[in-house]
Amino acid sequence: MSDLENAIRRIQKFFFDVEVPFGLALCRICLPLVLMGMVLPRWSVCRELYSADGATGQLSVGFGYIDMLPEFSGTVVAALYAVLIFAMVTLCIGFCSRISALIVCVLMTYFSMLDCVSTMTKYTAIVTHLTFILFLSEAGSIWSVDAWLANRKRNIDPTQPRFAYPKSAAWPRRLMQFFIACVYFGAGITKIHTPSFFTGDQLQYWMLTNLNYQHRLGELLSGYPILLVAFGYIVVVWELAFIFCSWKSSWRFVMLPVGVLFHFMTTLTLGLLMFPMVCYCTYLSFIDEEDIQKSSAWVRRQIRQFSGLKFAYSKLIEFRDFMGDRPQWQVPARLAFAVAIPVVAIAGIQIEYQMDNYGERRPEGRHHLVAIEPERARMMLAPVQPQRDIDKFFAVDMGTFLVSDIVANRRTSFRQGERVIAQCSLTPPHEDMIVECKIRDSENRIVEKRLEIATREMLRVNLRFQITDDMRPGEYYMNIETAGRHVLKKKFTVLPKYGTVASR
Amino acid sequence: MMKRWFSSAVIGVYLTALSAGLVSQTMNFGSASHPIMYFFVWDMFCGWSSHEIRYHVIGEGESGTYYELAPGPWKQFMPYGDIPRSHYDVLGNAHRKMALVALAKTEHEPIHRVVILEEVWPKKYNMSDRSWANRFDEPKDRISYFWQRSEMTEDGRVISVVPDYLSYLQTKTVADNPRLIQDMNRGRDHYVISPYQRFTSDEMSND
Repeated sequence: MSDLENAIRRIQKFFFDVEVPFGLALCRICLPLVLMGMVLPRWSVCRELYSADGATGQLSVGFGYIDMLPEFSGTVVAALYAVLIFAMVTLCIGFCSRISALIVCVLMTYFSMLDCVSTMTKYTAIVTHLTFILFLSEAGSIWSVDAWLANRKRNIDPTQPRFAYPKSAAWPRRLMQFFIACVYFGAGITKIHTPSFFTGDQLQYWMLTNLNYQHRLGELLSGYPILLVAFGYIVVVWELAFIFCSWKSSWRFVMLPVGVLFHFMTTLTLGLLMFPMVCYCTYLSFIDEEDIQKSSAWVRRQIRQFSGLKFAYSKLIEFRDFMGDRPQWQVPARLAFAVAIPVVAIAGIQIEYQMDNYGERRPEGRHHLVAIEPERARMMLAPVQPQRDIDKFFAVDMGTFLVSDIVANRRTSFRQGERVIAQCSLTPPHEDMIVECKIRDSENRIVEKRLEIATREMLRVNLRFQITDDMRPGEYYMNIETAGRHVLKKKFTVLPKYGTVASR
Repeated sequence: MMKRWFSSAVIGVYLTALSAGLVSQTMNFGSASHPIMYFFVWDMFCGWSSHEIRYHVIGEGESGTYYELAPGPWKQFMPYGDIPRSHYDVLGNAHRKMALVALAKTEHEPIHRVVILEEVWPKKYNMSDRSWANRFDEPKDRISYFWQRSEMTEDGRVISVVPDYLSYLQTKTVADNPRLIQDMNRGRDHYVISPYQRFTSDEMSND
């Protein structure tokens, strides 16, 4: 057999090997549960976010296509939104799985594209891909209502499950794996395109905003940009390597746990909640039959060991026997699904009407606009004031050596003879500036002076000076000035040189 | 066999689309050519700003009183924590609609004009007092810069619009160069047909 034939055979095996779709079934169950966290809070305001009766912000506008998608009335949107929630529930339980996945894919994409302000993010784009792949797959063939209603083959072997799990081609699972690998690869490329990512500045500023929920650890870490630089390099290497190493090999047991940890840290440091959860759902596609067999064996061992679990398991078996299999209900169930959609839509319209988002039907009448304090209004509408010098500087730090052009050992006490680096971090955008550093003693006499030019593209400027023997031990102040104007002040202590009597 | 062909076609098309997205992003070619590119270009956290920005949409009434139009006086929707939705409209896609909805759904005196403003402050002031005290020897003294981004009539007709505050600062850093300004004015045409050029005078007056 030639190499080419061998390669084709391997590719065919990779995509068309037949397997039980455990991973995709898990993804089908978990993804809608995660998405509920996003969809339910938007339900009460769907008229405001997605209808012609509200304030939509179409994604297409940013690409130069004005109002590309049709905008429906608030009533139609309430109906469609209720159908979306219903389809997510049915997708989760695996009832008419394929059509449910298609409904979620279409409606989720539509609503997201209508509101790029507060709905469309990259994780909603990921959800579009995932639901599309679930639509193509046989994810509903196991652990689902569809499986319960299907004509299943009974296993004769008593050591096997009572019903044989239906098998299908592996390619939808492979597409999901390729997809998440491409997402990471693209994210890695983005970071390479962003030079400030490798200086720690980008992450530092992201950690200092609460646009994505509160994240106290982020604020704490923002004070240590060297750590951010180090983690930044690790993340880029991991993201670029994921597409090569996450397949069935020993590397998979490194790549996936690192991914779990990485996303968990983005929650703690950047306040991302939904994005990690959606990515975890895609990781489920890496679970195959062998993993399920191993974990099932482990679970069985635990059940045998703990009587409580044994009891719960026996109850579960009893319930399963009670439910039996109901292939005769298949057609009525599909009809029920078709009938349920308009019923849910009408119920959605009624509930949204009762919620009265704009308060138009309140007993006390419509809302009144809230007046702004005259003083505040004057302040807001006054001509913009010139930017203060202090707002062009982020901070000043002192130390004795740099790592990745960042002061590595932030200190406020130095020995005589040490060479000090005073690093001024600047806040872009700023103009070309003179940055002057004056060292004053406790009697306000200038003992040292340094001057540097910070050009507009610089994010840091380093001023170096020696603690000479002339600087007697005691308290000193470092004043940062620009064009003779005070900007920042930093207090530090000079200690005697090592080896002197005073240093003991 | 048909099913196998169909599956192969889906695999081929899908992987080609994913690859095209990656190539487009890597080579910076056509990545913003169509909204569908948003679904194939993975540029999460591609930008950053050293400043925190909040957006205010206010209306001036007949009496001279100013009213808040966004968020509206009803239940506020905060998509990602405790910041209302209006502050996430970085592109300014929805501010105009927010103002019009607030005017249409509330009781109010006649409104003469609607103003959209940016409130900007450096992100360093977002530090908690404890973190600030660890890093700075001087007290926190935050001020907000208010920048009038656009003005509209009460029916949403745009009267004036200027770039955002940070673009203004960026331009100012370049405009500090007198030689460059002199070169820019040299040989400048007096009449340009494009309506976009009309904004130039407003932009300058805001400066």
